[in-house]
Amino acid sequence: MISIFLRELRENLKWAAVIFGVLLVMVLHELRDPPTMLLFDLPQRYTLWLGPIAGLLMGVVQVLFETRPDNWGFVVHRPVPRAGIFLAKCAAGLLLLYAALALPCLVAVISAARPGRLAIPFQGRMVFPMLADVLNAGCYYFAGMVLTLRKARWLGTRLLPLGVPLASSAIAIMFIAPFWQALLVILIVQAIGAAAAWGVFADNGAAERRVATRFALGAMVYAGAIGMAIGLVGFSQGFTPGGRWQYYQVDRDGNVVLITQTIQHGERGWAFTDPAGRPLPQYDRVDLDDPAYANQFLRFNARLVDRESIPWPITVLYTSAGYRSPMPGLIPLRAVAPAGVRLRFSAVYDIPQRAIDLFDPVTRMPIGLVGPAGFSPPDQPPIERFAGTPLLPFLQGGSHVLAFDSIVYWIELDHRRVRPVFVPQPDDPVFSAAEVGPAIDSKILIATTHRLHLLERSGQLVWSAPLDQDPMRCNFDAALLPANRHLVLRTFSNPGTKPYCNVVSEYSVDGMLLHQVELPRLTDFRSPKKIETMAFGAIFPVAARAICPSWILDEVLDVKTEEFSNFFDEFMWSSAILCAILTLLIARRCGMGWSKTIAWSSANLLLGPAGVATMLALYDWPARERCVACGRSRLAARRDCSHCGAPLASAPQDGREIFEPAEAFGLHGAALPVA
Amino acid sequence: MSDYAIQTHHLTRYFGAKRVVFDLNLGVPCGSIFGFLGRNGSGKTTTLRMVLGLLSPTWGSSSILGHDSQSLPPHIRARIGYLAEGHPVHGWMRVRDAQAYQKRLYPRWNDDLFRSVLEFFRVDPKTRARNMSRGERAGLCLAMTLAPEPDLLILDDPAIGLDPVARRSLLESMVYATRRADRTIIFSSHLLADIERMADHIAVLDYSILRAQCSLETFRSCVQQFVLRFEGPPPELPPIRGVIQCVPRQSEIRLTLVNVTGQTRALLENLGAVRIDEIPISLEDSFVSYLGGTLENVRLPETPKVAELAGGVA
Repeated sequence: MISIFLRELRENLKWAAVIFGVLLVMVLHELRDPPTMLLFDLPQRYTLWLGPIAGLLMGVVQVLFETRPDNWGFVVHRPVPRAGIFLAKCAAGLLLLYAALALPCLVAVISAARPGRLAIPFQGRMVFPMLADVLNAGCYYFAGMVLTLRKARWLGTRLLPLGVPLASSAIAIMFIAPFWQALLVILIVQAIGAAAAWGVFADNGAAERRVATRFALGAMVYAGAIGMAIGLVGFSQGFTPGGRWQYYQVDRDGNVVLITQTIQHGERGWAFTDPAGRPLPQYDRVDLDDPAYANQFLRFNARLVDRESIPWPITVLYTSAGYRSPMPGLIPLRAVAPAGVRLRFSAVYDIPQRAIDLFDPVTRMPIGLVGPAGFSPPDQPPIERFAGTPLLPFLQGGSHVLAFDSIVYWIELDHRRVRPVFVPQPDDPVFSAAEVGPAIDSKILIATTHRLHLLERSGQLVWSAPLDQDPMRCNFDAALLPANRHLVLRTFSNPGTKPYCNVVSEYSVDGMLLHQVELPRLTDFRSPKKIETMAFGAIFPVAARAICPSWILDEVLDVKTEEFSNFFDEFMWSSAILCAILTLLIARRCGMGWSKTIAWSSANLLLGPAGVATMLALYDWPARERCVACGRSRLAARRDCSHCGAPLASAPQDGREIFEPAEAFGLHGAALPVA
Repeated sequence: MSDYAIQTHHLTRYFGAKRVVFDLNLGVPCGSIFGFLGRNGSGKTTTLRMVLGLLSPTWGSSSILGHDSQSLPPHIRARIGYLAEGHPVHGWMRVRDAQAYQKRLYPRWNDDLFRSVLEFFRVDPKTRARNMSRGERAGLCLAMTLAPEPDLLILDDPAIGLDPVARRSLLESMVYATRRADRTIIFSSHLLADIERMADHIAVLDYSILRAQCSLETFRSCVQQFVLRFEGPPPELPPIRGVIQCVPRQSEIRLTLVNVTGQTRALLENLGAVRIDEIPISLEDSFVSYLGGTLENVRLPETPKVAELAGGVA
């Protein structure tokens, strides 16, 4: 086995060298003038796509030789178990792949960890994104093996096993926050890929003998079929000639406007009404594509969200809370000086250290730390540290407000300090705070569990009003009206929460609630999303309906399953029943027993059309021939007729047969098999 | 211990709708040199792959050296030398790399045998496999197959693509390999001269069906050719069992028959021929007739006369 491992190493070294060389060049290019977030940028720019390509390449080239049956026979006919040959092959391939990808990354990490290279503190978690990409390449490696070795049509199901690593990438990169969970997903997908690859390797591309490997291959094909179906549905929407969309806006006087946007043959048009549907004549000539109307509506530049209320996967998709983002460890601070003041340092909030680190942008060396008690030099610990992790760090960038649940600071880094502006009541902690209004005359809007507070930048309270919405169910957008400095607050229900809520409130300069408009939910049955949602329903597996909430589908796939839930469900169930019937017919055609037929039909009732595609990929379409006994069509590859049970007749004799008795071979007492 | 190195029972394999091997019952006696004959696509390679456990049968079973083919343990594989069709070898390897690689895998590796086979083929040990000629590569493959001192040697069309000199070298190496009395060799080939020189037993596959399994002498004696001369045009032939080829000419019929019995001879004599001659037939002709298809009652087109040809051109 070791000799096979060494041969594989030697044989594939050149491919590893190519991968290593390409990535090293890219890393060295980046290291010439490294961006501040080098270790987060490198994965986004390079390893994110190079890892999969490298994995796929290594998987393909390593088994290319074995695609010819003679070569495969030459490789596996050894006094070593076939599993041992496969293990040696995979061990060598993965070692080369990981080394080729990891060594250039290591160069980047070593460089980033050296003082003076990056104007941020080095944290161990910075290696996670690259490590995940390197390990994720292994998923593509096994997929490459499977699609090379598996005997299927290239334009049929051959490429479908790529679905699992693609899904793994999507999940591990986009939807998972903790690194260990991403690692777990990658390991599970690698295990599935390895099992499927072992199946196709052991059976020379057939994967027909082992149940577990067949199941793994089925999982890979199914993921690919689902991905392809979603892609086709999405792609088909590109051919929609037009459509209609509706949404609300608030004008600069605080009035709610319902905008209906239409696209017909590439021409865009808008209709403006009030929420009740009455036309607004003042908007008759407004063209929203015209930059002159860019400030027609109010811009909400402050968002208030309770971080506890943000559900997964929104946390990862939109709040930079994942392991691939610097946020959970570092918060880059921007716009931290008054207009016209130029700072001679860059600043980041160091979450583990609970202090603001200042760096010289030229030498990239630390200048010092800013804590609640002020500045301290780099060689000394801060006099006092902040309370913990700031609230909603992803909203902090660009704002002077640094909020914790027990205190809110105004950042004044031009003075190398932060100034406390608000301390809440112990039973009414802060859940969010933001800077609201124009930058030159902004105010501080602070939301505690029960109240809303508007403060001047000095910390002087302007007004405080009760917050009548539950922050665990809603989030808020705020803006100041340019004319009268009234606060306009839009309240939205959080994704997945019910009942639906969309309320616009206007507060006067002394905090009095002037008016509140509840906006009805918009359901436009002429929206092109309706057809897309129905098409998506037709391919969506029933099994996933129970575990995947509609709002997640809407967020992730940009459909409207909540809005058109009836249509979606009708199409989903119709498709599922059709798939079950189709599966029943296919299973009978393939000559499966009733238990297997029922199992497959039930499975495809839950799995949908992708399940049918998987079934067709796993089973060869059966050949049939006429039974000599009953004359009906029987399965050619089965010894006994499924109708009459008669065994297939022996090979026909035509009088040419020449067979000798065993004695003639010099074999005494042994019977020569007779044809 | 079975007297057969290889045994198959109703071995059948379909590729989709295509039946490649059908109901094959084959026995390869231990110590024999077994020629496996058949036309392209008749199922020889598929049979050998199934026997080696490289391909699973649609139904039926096979055993090799007393073990089920589909679950051969490594120590049995070590006793089986397999030279696959096309002489596969890792192209980047030099001869010494291949030697070192194989040596680590096989406990009974014979360095002297490896070197002598290479010398016989005049293969430079420094050459990479990808730079070798077909003959040299065949030599390397054969050396790698013989050096583990296998008890059973399976050669799948070993002479394919080789020039006559290389083919002769290959055969002589195989003769060298047969010096051990207990060694069984099974090889498939289209080249009857090779079979004639090497094999003592043969099996003939005719489009997935085993038609013959016997000693070479028996095969030769069972296939006979007769020329029936008539005074006029030959008559329509009645069904004659064992006819494998029938070539009618102006006043004669050339018949090739298998398993000629007294009844067959009587039937031939009653056809009204003025003369019946049995003519000697070579093994190659026997084989070609045996598998070349029956041309029963088919008249070959008359050769055009020169004058007609000239007229056509004019």
